[in-house]
Amino acid sequence: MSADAATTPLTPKESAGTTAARAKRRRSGATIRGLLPLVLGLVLWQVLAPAQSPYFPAPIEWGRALLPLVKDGSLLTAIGWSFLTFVLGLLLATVVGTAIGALIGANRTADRALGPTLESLRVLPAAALVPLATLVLGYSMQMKLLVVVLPAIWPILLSVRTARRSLSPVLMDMSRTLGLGRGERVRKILIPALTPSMLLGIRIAAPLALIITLLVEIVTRINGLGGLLGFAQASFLSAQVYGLLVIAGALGFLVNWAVTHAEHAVSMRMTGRAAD
Amino acid sequence: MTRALLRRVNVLGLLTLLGFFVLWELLVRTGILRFEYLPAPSGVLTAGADLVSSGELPTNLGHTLEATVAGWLLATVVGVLLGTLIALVRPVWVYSMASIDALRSLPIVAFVPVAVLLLGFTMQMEIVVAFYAALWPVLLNTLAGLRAVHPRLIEVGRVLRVDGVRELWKLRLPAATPYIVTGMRLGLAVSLVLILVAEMVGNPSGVGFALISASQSLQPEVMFAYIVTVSLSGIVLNALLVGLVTIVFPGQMAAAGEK
Repeated sequence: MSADAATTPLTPKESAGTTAARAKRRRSGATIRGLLPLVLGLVLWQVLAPAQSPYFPAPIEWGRALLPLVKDGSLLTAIGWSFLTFVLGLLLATVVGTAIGALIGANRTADRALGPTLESLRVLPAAALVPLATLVLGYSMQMKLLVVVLPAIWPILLSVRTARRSLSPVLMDMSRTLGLGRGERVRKILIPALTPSMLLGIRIAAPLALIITLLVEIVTRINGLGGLLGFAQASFLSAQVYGLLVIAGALGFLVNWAVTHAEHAVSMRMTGRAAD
Repeated sequence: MTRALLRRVNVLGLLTLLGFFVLWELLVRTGILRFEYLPAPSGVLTAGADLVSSGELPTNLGHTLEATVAGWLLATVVGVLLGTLIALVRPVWVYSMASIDALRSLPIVAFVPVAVLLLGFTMQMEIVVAFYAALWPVLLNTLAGLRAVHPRLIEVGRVLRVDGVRELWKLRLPAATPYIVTGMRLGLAVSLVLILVAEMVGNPSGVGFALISASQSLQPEVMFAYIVTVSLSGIVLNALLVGLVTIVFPGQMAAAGEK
């Protein structure tokens, strides 16, 4: 399930000695050259695609097929619903994941007691939950959120648990010496100490939450971008399917970009230097 | 001996899990937890036993796992080949990496409607979906693994006059094996999920379709039974892979600190 967890590690490290500006220029050059095959493929597709192809409509057709959806506003509404589900789901997963992670990271007994239960929840495949959740909770926002939150919790929970476990006991002792109250201890010590690992968890959970959001929508066709995709596929509007796929891709790209930059910005503020 | 074994088994944790199930059973039986379609664990067990004895569950599970494993194995072969090519041939890297980055940010699940559209309600469609889902983790982990090979290893190889294909075969690929295995494990999990989606919205067979039809005929026990078996088979497949790899490549896995 955590497809994107594995797919993050890869930008070639710039060799030492190049100045930041030169490195940046080189990187953007590489990006343009690297995008060539994709652009070339799309151009070839446009040129070679037979007119009115039922399977491989030309890229220009994709845009044309999206126009009616843009005009009656359904595309924007759909993106809104997907985005709302995604944001709420990620938020809930962050709160619950951080809380449980901090708890079981602090207490070995709690960790051992809850371990197998959590582990067995973790292996549930998200897709399999959708029909069950619709039956129990109906075709509702709660159902969507439940299915999104369950898998998105894990990266955050595990990351926070590890961080809490390796937190130096001196930090907690010191706060006791200083006579900090419980609330202060959480606010001044625990939260700052656990934030970086929480952000790391969110960076992995965010693409996952987006994928699961689309998954729920494609399977149930309630609303959202996935719902539109499902309808377009069921009515064989192939050009519209491709168009919506591109929009989903753009959304995915945007989410990745936003999460990475947010993590960077927060860790800059907190430590005065970049994470990594 | 028995005490050491006892300490390894997480008794407290298993008890909690058991307690959770007992509590669930009690809450449903006494009607405190009242969702219209929430079955008790005992009901799920009987439903599961019925499904197994009628042969329905083994057939559906077999179909789903067959498609998953076929697509995933194909993805492993293609992913390792492509990953090696991109990691070791500099121009290929330069002229493809950004395209790969752009393509992989397409949410994989959005690809399912396209596959259904192109290939219809067929087993091939399922295999293609599983293939596409597993391809990315395998490809990207192969890339990462090959690029993480320590330069000193290659230098030692040069001194011993190991180069070209032999260098790849004897040094680079073995060093990247733990990464590739990680990619395969992630790929397996992703393809299983995506196969389920493909069966729900496309090919009417396998566990995915069984789940949908159980949902439409209001049989939550049946759904729970399927969910449990599909999760368990995911765990078993993963364990099989890890076991097989540690037997076939004991050195590489030990070097990576995985037992």
